[in-house]
Amino acid sequence: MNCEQAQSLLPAYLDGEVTSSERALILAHLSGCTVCQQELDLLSTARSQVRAALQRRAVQAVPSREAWSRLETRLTEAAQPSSSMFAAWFSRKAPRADRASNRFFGGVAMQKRWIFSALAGVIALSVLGVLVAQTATPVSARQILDRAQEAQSAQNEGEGIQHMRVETYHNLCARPEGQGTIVATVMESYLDLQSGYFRTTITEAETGNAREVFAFDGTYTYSGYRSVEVKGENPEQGPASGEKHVVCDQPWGNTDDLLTVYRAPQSSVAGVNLPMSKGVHTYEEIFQEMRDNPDAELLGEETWIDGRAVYVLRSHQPVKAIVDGEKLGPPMGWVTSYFDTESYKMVESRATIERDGEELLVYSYRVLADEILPVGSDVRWDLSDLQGIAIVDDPEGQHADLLPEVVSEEELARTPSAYLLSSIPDDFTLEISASPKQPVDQPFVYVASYRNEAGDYFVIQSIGPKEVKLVADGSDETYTTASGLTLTFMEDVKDRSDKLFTSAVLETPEGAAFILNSTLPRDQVKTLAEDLILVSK
Amino acid sequence: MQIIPRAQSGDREAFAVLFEQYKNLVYKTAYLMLGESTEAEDALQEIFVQVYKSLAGFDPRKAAFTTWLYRVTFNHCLNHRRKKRPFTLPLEDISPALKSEFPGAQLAEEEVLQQAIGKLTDKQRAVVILRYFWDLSYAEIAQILDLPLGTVKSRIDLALKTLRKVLEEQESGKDSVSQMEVCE
Repeated sequence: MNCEQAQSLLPAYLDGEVTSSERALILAHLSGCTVCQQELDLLSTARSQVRAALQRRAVQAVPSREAWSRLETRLTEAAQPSSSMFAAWFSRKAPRADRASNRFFGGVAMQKRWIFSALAGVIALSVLGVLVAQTATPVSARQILDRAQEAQSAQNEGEGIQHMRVETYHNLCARPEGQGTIVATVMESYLDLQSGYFRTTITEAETGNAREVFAFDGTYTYSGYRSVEVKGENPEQGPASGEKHVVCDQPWGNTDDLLTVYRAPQSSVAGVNLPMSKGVHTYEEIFQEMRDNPDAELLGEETWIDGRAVYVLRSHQPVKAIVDGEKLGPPMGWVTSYFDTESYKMVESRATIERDGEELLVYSYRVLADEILPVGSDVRWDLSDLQGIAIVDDPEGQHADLLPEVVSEEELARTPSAYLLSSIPDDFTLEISASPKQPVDQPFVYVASYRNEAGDYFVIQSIGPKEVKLVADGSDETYTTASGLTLTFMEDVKDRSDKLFTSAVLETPEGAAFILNSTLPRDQVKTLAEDLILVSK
Repeated sequence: MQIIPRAQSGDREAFAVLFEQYKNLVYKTAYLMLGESTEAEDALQEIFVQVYKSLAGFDPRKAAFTTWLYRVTFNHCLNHRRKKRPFTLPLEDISPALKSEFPGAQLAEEEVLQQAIGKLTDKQRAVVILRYFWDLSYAEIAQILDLPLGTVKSRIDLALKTLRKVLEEQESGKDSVSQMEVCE
C-alpha cells in the first residue's frame, strides 16, 4: 500500500468503516510512514472538531412551540376533500382540539374504572425521549422543560414490556403530620407493547397490602379494588358527579383483609382511548402547570436517590389540595421537580403548601423504575404471584371491570335506546365499542366513534339518564332536532393549543342520555344530530 | 401503542405524537443543512406535510421509519438548497451562549470552523451531518441517501480533507478559506 492508497482510506479508517484486511494494510503502512501518520493526526483532529462543532451548533436548535399548531392547520388544509357531502364542513377551519373532551368521563360507565386514570398517567410518563440532544452545555429551566416535554410526548414502540414503578404520597387535605390519613402507595405496571396485555397493581407502601389491581392476560380481565368510604371534605360531591373523590379520612377499607379480585373472561379489547379522571393530579398535569409557568426556575443539579444526576426545577403554582373544609380552588404552593439530566424525564415531583406557617408536603411522586424489559420477560399477567389477593371467578362479568370490546351495528341494534347516524358520512369510519356483559336492566353503555383521516371525529357516548344534571353549569345553548332529540351544548372548550371543540349532552324522547364530542363546529354537530336515528329493534 | 400504523391510518392524534417524537430529528437536520432557524422552521413544516401526505406509502418492511424520514428530510433540504444562494452562516446566528463559551480568539476559531462546515458542498454536508452529528454508519447513510457505499466513503473522505485543510490554513495564519476542488 502506498501513501495515496493509504490516505484515501484514512477517513474510513478513523470511522471504523474499513475491512479487517484494509485495516491491517493501513496499520502496516502507518508504522513506517511519518507523512501518513501526520495526515492521520490532522484528519483525526478535524473529525473531532467537526463533530463538536455540529453538536454545539445544533444543541440549541429546537422548533418553536407553535410548530405543531402551525402544522396542524396545514394538515387540515392538506386533508381537505374536494368533493363530498362533508366538503362544506371544511369550508372553514374547524376550531377544535385533538382530543375528545373527557370532562364527562368518570360517569356511570367509568365509575369503577378510575384505576385507568392512574394507568394512563403511568403510560403518559413512561415514554422514551431518544432524540434529545445530550450535551454538557448548561441549560435553562425552559430548555429542560421543553426537552422533558419531548421525552413525555414520545411513546414506546416496538417490542418488549414496559415496566414502571412509581411511589406516590398523597396528603391532599394538607394535614400536618400525624393528623388524618396520609396515603403512600407504590404503583407497579407492566404493559406488553405488542399484545397489549397489562398488569397494574397499587399497594400500600408501608404494608405492601394490595389496594387495587387491574390486569388483562388475553383471556381474562382481573380487577379488584378497596371500597372507598366517602367521607370527604366536600360531601355533596357524590358518586354521580363523575369526579373522583378526594377523601381526607379513612378513604380505604381495611387493607389487611385479602383483596377480592374478580376474574372475568375477555378475549379482546377495543382500541379506545382510556379517559383520565378529573380530580387526580397526574404527573402530566403537574408537569404542564410547571411548563406553563414562565417563572419556573432552575435551582441546579443534584444527585438523585439512585445516584444519577438530575436537574432541580421549582415553580410557584396552584397545587391541588383541599384546605379548610372546602374546595376553594387550588391554593398556591411550591412544586419542585427533578429531571434526569440524560433523558430529561421527570423522575420526581413534590408539592408543598404553607398552612398556619408550616410548610406541608401535599404530594410527591417518585419514578423508581422506568424501563423496557425484553420480550419474554417473566410477568405474571394473571397475578398468580401476587400476595394478599383472592381471585374469584366472575364468568358473567357481574363484578369485574371489563374492558370495552368492539361491537357491530347489528349487535348494537339488539340493545335498547341505541342511536347512530343513519349513514356513515363520506370519508369517515365507524367503530362501536362497549363494555361486555352489561346489565340488561340498565341503559346500554357504548361509544360510537366516527373518525376520518384528517383527524376529525364525531363521537357519541351513551351515559344513561343519570348524568344529565352534569350540564347544569356551563351549558350555553339548547337545541332540539326535528326528531325530538335535545342537545344541551357546553361552552366551547379550548385545549392547550387554543383550539376549540364542541361537546353537548343529548337527551332522547325515551329518556336516555348521550354525550357528543366532536372536532367539528357546533352548527355542523347540529346537522349531524339531525341525522341520528334510533337503531334499536 | 404502534404509533406509525395508527398515523398511517389517518389518526391525527397519532400523527401529533409522531411529530413530537421526530420533530427534533427533522429540525436539527434541517438547521444544520440550511444554516438558519427560520429556514429550518419552514422546512419542518414542509417536511411534515410531505410526511403526512406520503405516510400511507411508507412500507416498514423496506426501511426503518427514521431512515425514511431522514430521506424525506434530506430530499427536501437538498432541493431547497438548489434553489437558494450559497450556504452562509450569519454571524448573528452564533448564539450568545456560544459567544460566552468561546470568547475572543476562541470565538473566531469557532466561527472559522462553522464557516468551514458551511463551505462544504450540500452533498458533502449531508453525509457529514449523518455521520458526525447523528452517528450513523456508512451503510445507513448509503440507504438514506440512496447512494452506493463507495460514494458515501468518497464524500466523507473529501469532506474531511476539506475541513482538515481549512483548519490547517487557519493554524498557519491564512485568513482565506478555500474550497477544495471536488468532483461529484
